[in-house]
Amino acid sequence: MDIHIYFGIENLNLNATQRATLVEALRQLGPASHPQPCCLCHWRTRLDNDAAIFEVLFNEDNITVQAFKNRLGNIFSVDPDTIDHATQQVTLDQRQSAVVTFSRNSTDYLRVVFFGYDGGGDWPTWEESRIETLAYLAANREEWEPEEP
Amino acid sequence: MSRLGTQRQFVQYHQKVLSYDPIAYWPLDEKQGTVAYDWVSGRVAGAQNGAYTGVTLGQPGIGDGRTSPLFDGANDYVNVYSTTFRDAFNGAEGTLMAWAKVSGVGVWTDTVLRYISAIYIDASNYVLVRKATVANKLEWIYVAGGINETVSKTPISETGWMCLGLTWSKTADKMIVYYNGVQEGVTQTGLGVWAGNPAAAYTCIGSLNTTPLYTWNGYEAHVAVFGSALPPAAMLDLATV
Repeated sequence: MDIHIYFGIENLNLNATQRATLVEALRQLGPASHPQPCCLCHWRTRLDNDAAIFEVLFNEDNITVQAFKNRLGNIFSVDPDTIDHATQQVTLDQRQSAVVTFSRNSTDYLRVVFFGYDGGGDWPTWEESRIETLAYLAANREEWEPEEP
Repeated sequence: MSRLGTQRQFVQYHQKVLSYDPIAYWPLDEKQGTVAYDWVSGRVAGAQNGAYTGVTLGQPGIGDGRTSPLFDGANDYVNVYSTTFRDAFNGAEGTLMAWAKVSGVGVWTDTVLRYISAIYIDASNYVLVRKATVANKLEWIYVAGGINETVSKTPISETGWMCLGLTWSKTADKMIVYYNGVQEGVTQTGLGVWAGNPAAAYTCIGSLNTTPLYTWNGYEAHVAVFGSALPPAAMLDLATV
């Protein structure tokens, strides 16, 4: 099923090459062309370049926990089953958002937040996901936006 | 009958904008695609066309029968930089006009800086219209040679379309801003000396830059830049659909 939501990633311990590989893979999500620009993969990068928020119309199979494990396994050239994960739910505005931390050998490497999706129920609508994303950005403004010019 | 009337209304507004001889004019009325067509350079192969990122096209427009894009407030913008526009832009004499509408009244109190349109060279030279971090406050800013001219409108909680204008003239030493065609605040004088050209990543509609920072949360339409400071009568005319 195709869904249109926002998700964020935060680099915890990937090196520059690993991070670049992951980001490049995520930028390929979604359709190559679409009448609506909002459905094409686009993103916003945090000031320190260690986090980004993606929005795109994509197949849900591409952003499962296993899909991220597969990407990390590929990056580390290891069996994806050796990648661990832990999930917690946070409420940014109205809905719960799943925050998934991926680790290997007890080292955290990547955190992914699915804005407005609790990890088990129905996917949020685009608007529901957008509201949670805006709440997150507002709550973390200092990390995402510099002092005004 | 009504459809024909609506179409005629749009033609009239589009022609009205063009009649004031803009150096660039992006109606933002596309219903699909990633190109924001410039109706000035369209005559020469679209040298000033912009590029949509992330917006949702085909939303209700200003009442001229055309549509507008929705900017999501997170990662949407229109990059309107081009070398043609860069060379045509006059930081010493000009006018910036944009129609904007918030996506909901809560935007006015979200404490997030949100840019409607910005032409930014560096910290000492830029022109922009934005919603301030302070609640219910709109700002028009013209900075040249490090001298800041700012006019604010507060309190504001408008949820309908707003026609926002800003004119600047070093020759006349005046910076004037317009809200729905009527001058807002007092005429600013003592303008600095503009230096530099629009920067590639900092000539945007709906954000400061292509990162994107300070993203607009709402709708925009009919963004135009002129090579001279339009008179009050023209600004009033442009605010009328």
